[in-house]
Amino acid sequence: MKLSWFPQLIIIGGFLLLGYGVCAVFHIPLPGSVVGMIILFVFLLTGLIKLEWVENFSSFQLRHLTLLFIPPIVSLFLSSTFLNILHWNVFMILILSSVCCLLGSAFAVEWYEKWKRRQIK
Amino acid sequence: MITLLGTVFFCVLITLLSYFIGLKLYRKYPKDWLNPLYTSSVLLIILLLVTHVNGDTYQEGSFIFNLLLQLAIVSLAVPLFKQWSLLKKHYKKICIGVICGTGLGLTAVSVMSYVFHLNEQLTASLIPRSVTLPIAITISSDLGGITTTTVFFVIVSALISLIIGPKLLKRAGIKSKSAKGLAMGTSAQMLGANRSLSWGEEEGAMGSVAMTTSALFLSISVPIIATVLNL
Repeated sequence: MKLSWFPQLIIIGGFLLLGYGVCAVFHIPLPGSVVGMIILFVFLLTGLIKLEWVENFSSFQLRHLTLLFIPPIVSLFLSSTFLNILHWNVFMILILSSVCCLLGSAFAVEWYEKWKRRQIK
Repeated sequence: MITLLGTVFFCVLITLLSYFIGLKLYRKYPKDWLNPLYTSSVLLIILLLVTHVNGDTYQEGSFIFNLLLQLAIVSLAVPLFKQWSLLKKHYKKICIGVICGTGLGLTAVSVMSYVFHLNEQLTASLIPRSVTLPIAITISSDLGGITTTTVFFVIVSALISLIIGPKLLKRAGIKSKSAKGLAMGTSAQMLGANRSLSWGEEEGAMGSVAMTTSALFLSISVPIIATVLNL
């Protein structure tokens, strides 16, 4: 059974609220949205929520995710605190740590795959 | 009340407008640097400057997008569920990639903050720079950082990874599909996952898996980092 987009939105929103509720009650130091995602994931795994009930809405939303990144970027560029953090050393840190992160995971996985292949032989 | 409603309406409208223009442009000319993220942001900044809306007003009016971002995090359960069998099959590879990537990134940030003598607040805002936005904000405030600064760092480092990532990985001779996807997802989160989807199915799946796992990994390891920093 396929639901139209509005009930799908209600389900996703419900899980978001549920996540916040669980966080508040059990004092979990994770964001409510992450807990909501984990709960929804468990419900999907157990089959209590069918994939078709939330699939369309979520894939639509994730396809247009870029839209949701635009407001924070724009409000940052327009905010007054923006100029205070524009130091060259901060940018150095951001660039170098991004490079470390990228190469670190890429090489780790590549080496792991090579090692695995050798093991099979 | 009416003015607030008007602001919200105006901000949402103007944001959607610039997004659609950016998207149209990207569909017509699918180039990397014409990503709607850049074009729409630039367009929106110009529009706001022309209409004399200041940053604070816009931030107030665009809270709706923040709410949608929270919903988007919940929605991530769906791709995660679809990739569950892939995740179970490759969990070792994924864990190794994500832990090495975030670990190295974290080390780089800590070492360089020490070398450059940054204050603690700035360091705390820098630490969560490679996780998904809403999670990063929580981590940063837990560590005593400034959240608006973290927003900026997260977006800038995602952009940096997005811009240099594909070329860097090619230059470094990375051929494995999962390695490419995992690297992009770990360091550029949602943007990286999106980008790696354009390489192919496997890269895209690995990208979004990496994004969620790295976020979880960092939010779990934060208490440990906090104690280390206090020493």
